[in-house]
Amino acid sequence: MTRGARERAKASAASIVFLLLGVWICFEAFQVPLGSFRMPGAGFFPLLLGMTLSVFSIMLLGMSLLSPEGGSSHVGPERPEVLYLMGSIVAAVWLFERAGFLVTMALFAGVAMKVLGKMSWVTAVSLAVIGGLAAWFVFGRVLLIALPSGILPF
Amino acid sequence: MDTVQSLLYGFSVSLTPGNLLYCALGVVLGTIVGVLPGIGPLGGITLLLPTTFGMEPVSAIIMLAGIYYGAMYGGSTTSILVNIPGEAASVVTCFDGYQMARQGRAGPALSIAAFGSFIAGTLSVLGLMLLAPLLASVALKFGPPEQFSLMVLSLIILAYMGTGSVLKAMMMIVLGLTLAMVGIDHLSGFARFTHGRVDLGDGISFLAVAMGLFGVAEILLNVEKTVVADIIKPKLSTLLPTREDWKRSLGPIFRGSGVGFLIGILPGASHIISTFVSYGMEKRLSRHPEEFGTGRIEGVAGPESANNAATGGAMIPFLALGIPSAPATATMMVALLIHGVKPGPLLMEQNPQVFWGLIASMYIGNVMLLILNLPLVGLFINLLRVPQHFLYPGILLICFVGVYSVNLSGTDLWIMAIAGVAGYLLRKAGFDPAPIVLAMVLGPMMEQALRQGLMMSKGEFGIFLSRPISAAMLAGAVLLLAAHLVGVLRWAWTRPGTKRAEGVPAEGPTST
Amino acid sequence: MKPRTPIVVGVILALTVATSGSILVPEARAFPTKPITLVVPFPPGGGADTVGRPLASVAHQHLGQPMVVINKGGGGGAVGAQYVANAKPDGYTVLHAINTVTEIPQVDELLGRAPAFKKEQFIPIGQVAVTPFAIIVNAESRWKTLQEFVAEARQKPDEFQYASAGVYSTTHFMWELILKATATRVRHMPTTGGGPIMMAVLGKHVDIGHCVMPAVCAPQFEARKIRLLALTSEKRLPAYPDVPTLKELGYDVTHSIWHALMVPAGTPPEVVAKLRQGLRGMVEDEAFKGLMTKLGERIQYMSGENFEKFWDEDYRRMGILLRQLIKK
Repeated sequence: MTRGARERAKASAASIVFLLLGVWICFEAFQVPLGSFRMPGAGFFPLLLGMTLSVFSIMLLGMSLLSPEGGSSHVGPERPEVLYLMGSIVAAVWLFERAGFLVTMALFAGVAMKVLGKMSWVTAVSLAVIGGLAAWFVFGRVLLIALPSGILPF
Repeated sequence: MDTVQSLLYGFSVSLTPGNLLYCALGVVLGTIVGVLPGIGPLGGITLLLPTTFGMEPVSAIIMLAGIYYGAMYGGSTTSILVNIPGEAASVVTCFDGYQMARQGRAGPALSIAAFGSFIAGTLSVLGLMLLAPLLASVALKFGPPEQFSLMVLSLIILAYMGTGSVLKAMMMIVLGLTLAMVGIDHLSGFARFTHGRVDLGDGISFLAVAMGLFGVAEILLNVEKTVVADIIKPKLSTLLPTREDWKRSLGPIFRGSGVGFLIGILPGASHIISTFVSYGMEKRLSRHPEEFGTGRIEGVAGPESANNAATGGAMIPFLALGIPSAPATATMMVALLIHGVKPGPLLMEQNPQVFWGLIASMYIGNVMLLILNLPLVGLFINLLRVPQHFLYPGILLICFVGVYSVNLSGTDLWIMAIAGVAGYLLRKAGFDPAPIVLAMVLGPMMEQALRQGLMMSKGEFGIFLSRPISAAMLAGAVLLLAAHLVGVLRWAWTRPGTKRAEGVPAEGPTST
Repeated sequence: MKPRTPIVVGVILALTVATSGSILVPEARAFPTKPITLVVPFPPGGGADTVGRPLASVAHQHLGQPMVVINKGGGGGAVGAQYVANAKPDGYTVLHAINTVTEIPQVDELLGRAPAFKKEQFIPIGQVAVTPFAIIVNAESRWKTLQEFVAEARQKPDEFQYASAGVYSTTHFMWELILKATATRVRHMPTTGGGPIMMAVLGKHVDIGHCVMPAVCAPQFEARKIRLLALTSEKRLPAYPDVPTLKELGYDVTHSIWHALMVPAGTPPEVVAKLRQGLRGMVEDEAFKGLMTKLGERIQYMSGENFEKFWDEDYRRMGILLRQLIKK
């Protein structure tokens, strides 16, 4: 595909995604009472929004087919570091309440530092443990935020 | 004059060494609290309220007001330095403030934010003093139809503010409004978009989305760019604004103060709306509108002043009517109640020392903020010199804690992660996600205003046009839209079939 | 590594070790060890604030920790109640419950929608107060008595509008009962709570409304901004001898809201006991009593155990009423 065509395809794809989203929102809006104009119900505004988004998406589709606007050349990640970081964030969120704050954050910090910087695993892990403990102390003990303990006894 | 005398009396009350100390303490605590994401000004006040129990009511109020101001300023610090808004009112500051930081001009940005806030706060206190009762009655006239029209106007301005496609911005706005619909409908009690999950009953956490879209996404994008070597190491060239900076900022500061104060009085989303109305106004008035979003100092001076002025304006319904319209003022109400001071329309007459003491302390709080924070600017800047591989994990860790601490909810963390990835994808696809968070904040109010307006009029849409204030605002919105459409048509007409320049790199939050 | 790093590391380790006493020993300290959150399920400015906030302000003397109030309004009280129902049952999240907690689950059932929460999800700590309402109009309105309003409303059905705290909220029901008793048709405008209702009345966005008597009504009344047309209590209030009750006017409607503290089910019994004991102390607290007197509110304490029985009965009674109203 030519550069231009790829741009167009990318922009059109985005429009279609939003169009689908708009339709889904309308669908959801019908699940609750719409009410009337005199007494608008819970579905009133969402329906309005869903329809508006759909209309905008179609407009955007039209415009992007005619003349695509800028963005980066790729929509996906251009470097593996980005994926690793994304992955570690998602993993950390999943682990947070299960393994507890300290364990999760220490792991996360370690992985993140290794991914971003050029250091050995040993350095990354030790710094992460120290950082994690410091954070736990400041936030959990000093500021008394109820951080999950997870698998640790404290 | 009576007012001047009363004000002097107020100063005499608040300038005692004890009260000055409380004020300073409040301001410092507030700033710290504001810098940490998750605990906004409200959280700060509620956490620290118990410490005020032993104090005189005036002292307590002074400290609480100090905390509030401090937290608002702290929020802008993180916006400028790391593109993470401390709270909703600081979102707009990210646009140009962060860009300035990346160009090594974080110092002037932070300083102008402080100075602007100070001037705006002072002006709004003046306005409060002189105009409170008058403006309170204006606030009352602002019913649902007017609120709705204000929201519509604000959202059109919001769509306008970005450097890119208005259509794309409006789609982001609709997305933001929809996100606000998740949860139990406040008027009817029906749950929407939740599919039975009770952790979504209270809606999607604004903070989680903001942290994700701004903090996480920004970090993800930055990591990618190390290859392109785009980040300029911040130079400690100057900490203070240059003459040129001042010249360009004075206008926005004064205009922002005016706009912020007026909008702050109106019941509704005062702070946030004032920030982007100010930004939009400055962009319109500027000779280089296309540079907004790349580090124009007006883009920091205006909104920062506006949101401080809005704080003063927001006090008016509380002080003049006795109805706290925000949790912050409700907390202050209790502080007053605890010492037998009944807030209400008669507060000024029955307890002048509290009323004027509070007003005087707001002024003093502003001064304190300036004095205490300017030296800290140098300290904050040093944060930017920390190498990436330490800074980013650190920031992310703080995001985790901040988001989690609000509701102790793992769901919020998921929302933050999803928002982060979504923000990254949106930016790469050429959308600017900033309007999403702003629309999210306005969503519930806009919907409520629309529905209540229709209920008032028995279903007639005409009510939005028959009431003068509402009609005026809608007319403004239509004019803005029309002006834009004319511009678009002219563009389409004069350049049929030419391709746009190859993609503008996704720098900063206002990319196309 | 830079030469400074080991020092930094050492300092942090030292700090950690120094505090390790509290790290490794499990939490043996008794409840409460940090501030308790009181959730008021309405926006600021309403009747719940005027009971809950003064109460919270005396908490730290009786519970050892301060009580911090947050507002979580919406859905006529549903949002805040659901939040507490699903919060960690460790005693640190307490709900300031009013009648809506009795009504919402039953409304949900009658409307066929998933319940926001269930009665069984709460354990009552105790009742604090009972507050009636006053029916109010803007001081500039043309109706000086309730009868005048009723007369005109009968002639012009659906012409006027009242404000409530939300569809199917407790005040919505109160108004429906009143409309039935007065044989009038008045349109309904839901808001989210007492604060917005007062703003709507003051701003003349609605024709008639109500407020919690006297805490929310009094400041506006003293400033001559509103007129009190009637009370929803059984008897007249001594501080307001000129205001008749609905009953006296011939409309057989009485409605007051009770204010009770509740915690999520599953809270350990020792914690519940501690809270109940603390509450007992709080309602007897001189400072609290003084505040309530200043606000004009009547403290009416009922212990947690007694309230459980009362609540069962109240739940049943409301269920019958709701069935009648909803299946119109």
